[in-house]
Amino acid sequence: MMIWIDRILLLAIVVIVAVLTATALPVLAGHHLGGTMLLLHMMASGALVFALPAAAIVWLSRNINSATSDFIQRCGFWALIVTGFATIATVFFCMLPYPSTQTMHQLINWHGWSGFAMVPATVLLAIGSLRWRRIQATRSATPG
Amino acid sequence: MRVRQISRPVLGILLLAVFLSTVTQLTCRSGYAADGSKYAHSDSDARFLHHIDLYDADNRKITSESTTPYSSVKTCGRCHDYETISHGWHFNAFDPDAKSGREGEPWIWTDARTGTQLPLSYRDWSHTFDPREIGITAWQMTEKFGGRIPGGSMAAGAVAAVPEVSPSLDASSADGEVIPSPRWKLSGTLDIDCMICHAQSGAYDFNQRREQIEEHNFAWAPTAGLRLGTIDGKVSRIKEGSDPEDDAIKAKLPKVSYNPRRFNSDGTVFMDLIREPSSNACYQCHSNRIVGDKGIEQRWVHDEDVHLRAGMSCADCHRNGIDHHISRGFEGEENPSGTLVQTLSCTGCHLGAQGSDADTISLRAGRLGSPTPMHAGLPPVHFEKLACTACHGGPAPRDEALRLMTSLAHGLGDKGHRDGFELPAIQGPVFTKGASEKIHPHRAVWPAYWATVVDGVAKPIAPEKVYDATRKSLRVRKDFVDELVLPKWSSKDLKEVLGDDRARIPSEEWSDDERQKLEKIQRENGETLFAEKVSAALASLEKELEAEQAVYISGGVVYARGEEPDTLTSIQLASKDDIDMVSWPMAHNVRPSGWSLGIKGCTECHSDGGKIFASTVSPVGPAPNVAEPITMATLQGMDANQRLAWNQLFSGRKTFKYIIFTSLALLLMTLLVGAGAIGAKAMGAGVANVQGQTHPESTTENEVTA
Repeated sequence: MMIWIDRILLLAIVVIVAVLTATALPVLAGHHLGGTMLLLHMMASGALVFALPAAAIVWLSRNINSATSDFIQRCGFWALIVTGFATIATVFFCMLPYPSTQTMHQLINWHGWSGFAMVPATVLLAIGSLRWRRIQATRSATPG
Repeated sequence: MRVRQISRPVLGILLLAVFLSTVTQLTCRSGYAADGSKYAHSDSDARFLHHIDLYDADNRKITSESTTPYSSVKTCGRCHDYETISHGWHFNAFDPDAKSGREGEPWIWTDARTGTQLPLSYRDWSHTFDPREIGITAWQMTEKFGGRIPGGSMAAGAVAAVPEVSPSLDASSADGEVIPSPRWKLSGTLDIDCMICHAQSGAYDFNQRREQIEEHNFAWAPTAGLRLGTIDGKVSRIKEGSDPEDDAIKAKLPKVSYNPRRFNSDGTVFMDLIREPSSNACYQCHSNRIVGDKGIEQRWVHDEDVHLRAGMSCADCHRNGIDHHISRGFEGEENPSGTLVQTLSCTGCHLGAQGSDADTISLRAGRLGSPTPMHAGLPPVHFEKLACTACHGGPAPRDEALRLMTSLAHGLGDKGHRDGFELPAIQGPVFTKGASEKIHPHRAVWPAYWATVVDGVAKPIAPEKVYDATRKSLRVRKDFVDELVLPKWSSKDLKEVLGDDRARIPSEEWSDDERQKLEKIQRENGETLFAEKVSAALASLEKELEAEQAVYISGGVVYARGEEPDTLTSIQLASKDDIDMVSWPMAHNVRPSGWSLGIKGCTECHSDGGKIFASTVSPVGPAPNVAEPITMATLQGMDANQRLAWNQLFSGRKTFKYIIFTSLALLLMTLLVGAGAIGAKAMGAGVANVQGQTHPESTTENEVTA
């Protein structure tokens, strides 16, 4: 059961981050988000605020202990949590009626950078998870 | 002796050289001073009192006994660089060579008798027609719109370089040579009248100026405007085709009787003028009125622009140098003078020039003490999608775009009896995208005109030609709409609906039911009459112009003659550009933040009824067709389903904030637990190291356990 939860969560995180990144790519070319892209971005962000805390809780214990996770996986996990927190927090502050226009521009700038930083974090997490699974499979297949 | 003989010619040459050099230097000094300009300047902030001599167009000094009008070119141009000034934004409206600039309000040639509202411009603006291509001469443009411009360019007869009309249309041209309209020699030219803007408030009578222009007394308008004397005579009374060189005709030209009290003992006249024009001068050509269901809305129900209310004047933002390239104040404007004008726009003044170096003082925010807006909680994407004016400018939006009146289109300022529904039918605010791809509030009008169709393209017919050719077939005395589209009820109609007894009662006493019935009859009668008369008029035009097909365009519909007599049919053209909505951005009056869109929260716009997307504008023209209203979202090119999705997203925004907060709290807890674990581990490792150093055997145990 846990294996399937792991797989679904990992797949969800990868897909969500991929969608968020793809829809944010116009920003790199100096354009701004809008229309369908922004709509997709918003929808994917809605999924992220559910999936990321869920993953954080489920994978927390194993990523504390070096005996239950791979080093790359741990790096990926904590990087994802840190960058994800920054990404969500910056946009959350923008939604509150406190920051000024200038602050919001700064927040959105940070949102973009932390958001793009989620990509290598997710890649690390995915690679680490696969590697860990392979190690586990090798160990269980080895007699003695 | 020999020496003397040789030195004479040399001496002569030397003397000549010295003489020529001296003359040249003196000439240069009198023409151009050390500052490189031949015009002196006071360089003081104080007003420079103008007790000056007046000169007429022939450069003769005007005395109280003179009968010729004063010329601003010869009078003001003596000390001011008229040539440089004349290229300014206000004076090049009739100059086809001037830079087009951002789209603005076109000249809408309106003829209520023929149901014409034809957008014209010498600038290369979309959906407008070049008057020269239609056959409207510069003189005709000056006659029609001269009272709404301060003069200059083609209105000042600058036709030598630019033909008044396209050579192919000008009957008077031969071998490509274009002869200016002979009326110029009678009317004189409409030179730039400096005093329109620079006279002390209340010193210039704009209505006197208008009256003179209406009577074709172009050259006399500045004199009348300043009320320097009375003008006797009207060029409009002089027949078309009269020879301007004929002494009898010359004798009919208007004469000025100067007020001797305006002349000082030294023959000068005090011109009470100011450097920075007052807002009142701007209002002469830039007033706007909102028309509600009950006609023109009264001033007292509307607030003035928030900037004016704060004590500013138009010229505080709309500034210029001697070149008179007045800053228009929109984001991204490049002033032809090369001067940086970013901070004379809304964003530049309030937020600073975008991407600018903060060290450059002239690009910083806060000009004239402007406050920095907070826009608290407004996602920055709004600043990329919307112009400031979308939320802050123009009349507060309602469910449908309102009818608007402008000075340029409706001649506001001229006394008259307006009900607000006179042509041209301008509407606004229309929230559509401008050239900057941002949503701006616009004014909009659907063109209405008579045209011939060649290869599927409508080519407007000159309004004067239309009137001459359709006068007998249309039989409209004053107003196309009132007489053809909404004709008065016959006594038979009234009796049929109201009965014999009530047929004569005033319309105010009709019941709602009676009114509806009568309005229905009026519409039906109008449709029949419109079809009958317009069909006949199109036949007249086809015959007169020997055209294959003539059409009448109104409200986005192209009417052609039907197969049956007295009927019309709607046809499609190859291009819709010439029949589509013409729009231009509007900015004023700027509303304060409390009256801006979105002040009530996201759902003020992001809901099914959000005015910026859901309000509508209907293609309106003189014709009786009732077109489907168009939503602003459609004009913006927004997909209806996408808007619905957005609205649904925003309906749950408040809940979503709580969800995000919970999400952040969980992530923070995870981070804290992780940090705690790492800390504990580090501490554990430290303790183990210490223990290992003290009891080496215990280290071995640990390693085994691991």
